[in-house]
Amino acid sequence: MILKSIKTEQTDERTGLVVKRIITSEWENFNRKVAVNNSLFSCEQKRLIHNKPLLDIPFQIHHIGFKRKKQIWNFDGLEISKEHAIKQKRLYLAFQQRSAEQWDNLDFVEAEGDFQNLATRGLPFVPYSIPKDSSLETWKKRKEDALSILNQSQMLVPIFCSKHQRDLFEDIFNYEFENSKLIGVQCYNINDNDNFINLTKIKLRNMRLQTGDEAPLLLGLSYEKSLRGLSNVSGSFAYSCFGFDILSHRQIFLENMPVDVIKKILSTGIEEIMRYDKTLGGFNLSAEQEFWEGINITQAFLENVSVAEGLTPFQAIQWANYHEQQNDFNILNNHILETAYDDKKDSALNYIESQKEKWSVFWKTKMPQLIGV
Amino acid sequence: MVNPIPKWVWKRYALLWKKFKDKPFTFEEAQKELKHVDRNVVSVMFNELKNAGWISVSLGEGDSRKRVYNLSNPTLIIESVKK
Repeated sequence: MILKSIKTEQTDERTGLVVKRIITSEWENFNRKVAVNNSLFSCEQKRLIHNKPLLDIPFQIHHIGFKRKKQIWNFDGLEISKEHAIKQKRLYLAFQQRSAEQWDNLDFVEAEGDFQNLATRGLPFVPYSIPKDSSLETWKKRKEDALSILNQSQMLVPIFCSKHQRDLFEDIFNYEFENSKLIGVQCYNINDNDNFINLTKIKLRNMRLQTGDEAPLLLGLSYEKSLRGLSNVSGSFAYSCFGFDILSHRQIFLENMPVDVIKKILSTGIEEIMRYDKTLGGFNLSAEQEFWEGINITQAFLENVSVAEGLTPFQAIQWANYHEQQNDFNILNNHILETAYDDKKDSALNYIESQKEKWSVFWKTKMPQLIGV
Repeated sequence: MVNPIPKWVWKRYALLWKKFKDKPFTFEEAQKELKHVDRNVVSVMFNELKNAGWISVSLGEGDSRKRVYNLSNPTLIIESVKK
């Protein structure tokens, strides 16, 4: 699949949110998509066995985990997920999911080695993790070297850490914003100052796009699925507010966990599973549902899931969570598009501020107010 | 002047009215009543209620740093909207 162009369709002045039109050799789509990640891909593999429909999403992102015991990246499953993505006509990206500590220790020797490794695996989009202390000048030289080993059908995808050194980030990010079609950012805690300022710079650059402008696709990667410190608002929504177009939350690799933690995760009861609630725009647990709604919504949902659908109860909830979040994004896109009309300027802002509790609280307490920017 | 409030705020208002009616209460008492809701949510909710004219805020007796809240009566709110 060839990524042909990404154009700005509409920028909403009130919220700074942007709708982009993505055109490939296979399809056209808008942005604000939750990608098929490792866990959703596992669900799809089960669905395939049962001849059930898959997710209608044109993006798949494979998080490559790190085997702590052996100190190597785990490339198992990469080929299978890539082939699956090709069959489903999806734009496919694989990248090394780094912990905050791995980012702290990353230098160009390691980053270049990881890039070379992935470049030889036949990937069309090859990620290059940029060390946190890189300046624009250093990066330009390294990028030139990196591009020299790619073939014509491959594209370099710069991957930033949201904790990139603050005084260096703006130059290097804005350079890539002008020169790349895909940019990834591994996102860490919004409450951390460096992170928040870097994320705000991303938003400020993105919202300067005007209708018809060529634009890069911003990939928000490895953030928390549910922001526990922020009323459990959906991480996908929270990071999309900073301009990310394609979203894929952090994947948990059980093999790195202590045995007792694995046992605890595997024995999670229904009451401990986070369910996305579209009336909230975030996640809640059974106890909260029972308090507010008088019914355990997660339990009620599971009672209606057929075994023939091919998913475990936990996967069925993941599947439903996915659909509801994506539906909310589709509605939000429509509201942003409406802001092109003079009498609908507040459409997206009103939707965020009045329709969903957790979206509203996040927007009003965390997002910089943009009036006059 | 009373304005409409979002549905999610209305649900919380209804629960607080059931408990406190038009009696004064503090932020902490409200948070205790609204189980599973954190401080951020209560702050934004109070702000929405205040801006829409559904709640009044006054200084606490004896400690002016404290705020005391009084919900407006829903019947009066409906009457006010009619006007």
